[in-house]
Amino acid sequence: MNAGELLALIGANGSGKSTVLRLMVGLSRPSSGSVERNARAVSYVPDVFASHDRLSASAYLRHMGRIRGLDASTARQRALGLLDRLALSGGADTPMRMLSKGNAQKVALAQALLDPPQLLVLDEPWAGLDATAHATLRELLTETAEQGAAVAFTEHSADVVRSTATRVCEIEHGILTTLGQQLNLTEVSLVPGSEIDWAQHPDVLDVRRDAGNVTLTLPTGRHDAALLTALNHGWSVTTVRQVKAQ
Amino acid sequence: MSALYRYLLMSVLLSQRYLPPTLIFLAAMAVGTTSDNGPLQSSYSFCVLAMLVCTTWLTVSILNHEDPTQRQITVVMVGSSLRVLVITVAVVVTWCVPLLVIGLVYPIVTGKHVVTASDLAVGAAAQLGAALVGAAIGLLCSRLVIRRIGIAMLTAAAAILLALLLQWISPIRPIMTVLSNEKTAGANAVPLTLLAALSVVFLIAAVFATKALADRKE
Repeated sequence: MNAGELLALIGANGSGKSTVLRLMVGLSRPSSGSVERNARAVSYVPDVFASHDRLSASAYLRHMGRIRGLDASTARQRALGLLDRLALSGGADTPMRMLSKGNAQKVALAQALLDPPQLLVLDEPWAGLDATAHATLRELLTETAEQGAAVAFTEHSADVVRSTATRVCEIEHGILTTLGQQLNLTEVSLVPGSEIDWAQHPDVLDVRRDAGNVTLTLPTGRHDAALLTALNHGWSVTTVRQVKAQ
Repeated sequence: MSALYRYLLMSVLLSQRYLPPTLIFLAAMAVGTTSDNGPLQSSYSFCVLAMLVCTTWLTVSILNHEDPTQRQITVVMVGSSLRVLVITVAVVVTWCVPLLVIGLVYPIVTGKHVVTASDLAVGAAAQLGAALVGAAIGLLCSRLVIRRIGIAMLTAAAAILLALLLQWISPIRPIMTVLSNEKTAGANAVPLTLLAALSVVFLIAAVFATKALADRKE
C-alpha cells in the first residue's frame, strides 16, 4: 500500500477480507510468507466493537489518546472534536456500555483517528452507522489519506467502495486481484475568491477556466479537501457532479 | 506505558470485578483465622491457601473483563501483545496488594499471637509467593488461553489442587511445608524468600506461555 491510498477490499463472506486486515495490523500471523510494515502509528477498527466499560465515551477516548502518547488536553480536545463530528447521540459523557451498536462504532472510529495514523485499517466501518455518519466517515477517511496515511477497509456496498476507494482489490478463493484504479471523477465548478494555485493541489487532475468560473476535475472521494480549500479562500461552489473518466 | 496501566486499572476499578474474590478472601480469613491463638505462621499457612484460590479467581476476572475487540485495538495501538500482557499482569499484581495486606493484618488483629518482624516477613513472603502462583494459574486459565469459561474453571480448580498436593510442581506445597514446620520465623525467612523469588520466575514463565498460546490462537 502507498501513503495517501484508499484501498477497498471486497469479496464474498468468508473470503478472507478480515484476515488480510488482521495480517496488515499484526493481529494474525501468516501461515506462510511474511508481512512487511513500515508504518509505526497503526490504527485498527474491528468489525464489531462492544465495550462493557463503565467509563464514559470521552473518558475512554482520553485514555486511548494517552496510550497513543497524546497529552491529556490534546487527547480531550481531539476526542470531543471527533465525537462532535460523528454526532454521537447521548453525548460524550454516555457510558460505553450504554452505547448502541452504531454509537459504539462511532467511538471505535474516533479512537482510531485520535492521533493521525500512518496506516488505518477498518473492517466494515460503515456497518451500523446512520446515513449522516456515512458521509462523515467518508470525509474522515479521505482526510486521513490526504494527511499521508494508507487507508484499507472492507465494505460490501459497491456505491460506498466506488465513492471512497482509490484502489479496489477483490479476494476470491484465496487470491487477491486488483480490479483497477478508481475511474470515477468529480467535477467541481467554482466562482473564484482569493488566489489559489490549483496546480499545486495534489488531487486536482484538471483545471478549466470559463467565463469567470473555474472547473476542477478530481478523483471521486478526494474532492472534499479541495472544496474546503475553496470555501476557506472565499470561493463559491456552484455545482458538484460525478463524471466518468474518458 | 503508564497510560495503559492507568486505563486498565481504572477499567477494572469501575467494573468491580475484584469484589467477589476480595470478599471471599475476607470471609475465608474470618472463618479460618479469627480467634486463632497458635503460632502466627500456622495462621499464615491458611492465608496462603485462601490467597492462592482468590488470586487465581481475581486474575481470571481481570483478564476476562477486557472485551476481545478492545484488546485487539490495544494490541495494535501498543504494537506488542507481550507488552499489553505484562501491563495487565502489573494491574493484577496491584489488585493482589490489598489481599496481601488483609492476609497479613487480619490474623494479628482477630487472633492472639506473639508478633515479631520475622513473622511478618515470613507471612509477606509466603503470601506474595501464593499470590504470584495464583496469578500464573489465572493467566493460563484466562480467555486468552481457554475460551470456554466452564473448562477454564475446571482447569483452574485442577491446577490449584495439583499445586497443593504435588511437592515441586509449583512453589505452593514447599511454602506450606516450610510454614508448618517447627522452626522459628527467623529460620524460615530465607527459604520462604527464595520460594517467593521462585514464584516470580513461575509467573514470568506463565506470561510467556500465555503470550505464545494466545498468539497461536490468532
